Amino acid sequence: MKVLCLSMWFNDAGKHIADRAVHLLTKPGITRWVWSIRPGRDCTPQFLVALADYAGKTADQASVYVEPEEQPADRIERLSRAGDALLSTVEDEDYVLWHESDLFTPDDLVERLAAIDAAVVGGWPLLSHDQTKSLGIRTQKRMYLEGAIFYDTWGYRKDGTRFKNNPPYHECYREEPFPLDTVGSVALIKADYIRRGARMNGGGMVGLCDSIRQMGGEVWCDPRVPVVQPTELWTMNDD
Amino acid sequence: MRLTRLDDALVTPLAEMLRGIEPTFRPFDFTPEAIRMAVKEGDEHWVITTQRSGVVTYGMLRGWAEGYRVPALGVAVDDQQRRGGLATAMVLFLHYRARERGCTHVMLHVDDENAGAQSLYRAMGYRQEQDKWVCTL
Repeated sequence: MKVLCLSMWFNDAGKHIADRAVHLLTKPGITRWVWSIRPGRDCTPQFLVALADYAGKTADQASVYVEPEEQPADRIERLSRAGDALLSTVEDEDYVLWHESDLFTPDDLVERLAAIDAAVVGGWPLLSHDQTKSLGIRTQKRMYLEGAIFYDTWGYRKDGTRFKNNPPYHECYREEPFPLDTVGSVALIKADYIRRGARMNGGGMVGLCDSIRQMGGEVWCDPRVPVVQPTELWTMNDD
Repeated sequence: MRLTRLDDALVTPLAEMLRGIEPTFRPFDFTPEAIRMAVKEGDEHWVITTQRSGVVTYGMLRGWAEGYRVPALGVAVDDQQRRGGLATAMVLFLHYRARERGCTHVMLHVDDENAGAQSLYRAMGYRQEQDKWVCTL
């Protein structure tokens, strides 16, 4: 099984870039990585190239795409353009793993999401709080999630209604895999839909899920698969 | 944040940054003159700068200029910039530079009292050999 992992980066050099990049580069099941970097004054591209080398990946296995200097003012439009450029790098992979670069997921993420036979399968994005004191590439093995809140209330939708931060989240929510309209943050996507032309079209992951559903694909999520945004990784860059 | 080779214009800001950190890192005196003396052709000295704070991280690989095959690695981070992972990123970047130049090992010295640095380097694969720490690249 071939899996292409796509992520976006921007001015991330001082934001635990090594932990985050190595977390993605060492995740089992992924066979290729393409990273989009928004132009900035930051040394993120240099670090990412060095970190891919550290993880033993060749330039063919892990590559960096620098977005054009000219950027749309609207954030979602900008992210969508970069996202569509990333999606266009799909080759002969079976799946695309969309994985936001500041999120941490279990080692067996790909295996668990691929076990559900749907066009798109998302995990369950949670905002962590005070659960890990020493973050690193081993963090995902001891995620502690009790009390964490669901945070991707923009991306997760069903029947025109967004999910909420706290239980019961949405009337379609179940404690086992369930279908919905759109997901975000981290999702495994059958690559055939991308090769057939599915794109974000200005709507980010919501747009991509809509595009895939119009092609007949189903979107599911597995709330048992944690996707964690560790707040202790939040740092401020001064330029 | 910019990652650049240390040039003459950055020597004085680097000296100021180094004078402000804990005295567990002292490969040379923290004066512009001493830093200029320490920078030898063939070695590598890198800095990360920000517009607001100037030099915030320093990294070096030295020893090549004096004929050693295994370079000595050193990293220092401005106290105000700690806990952002810059030290880890800089060390891994220096490993990359060393590998690019054909090195199979790097070494460094860690102050016996500096438990934080020892923990960092151990987690990154360094092992202690008498008075130095060695990493296989």
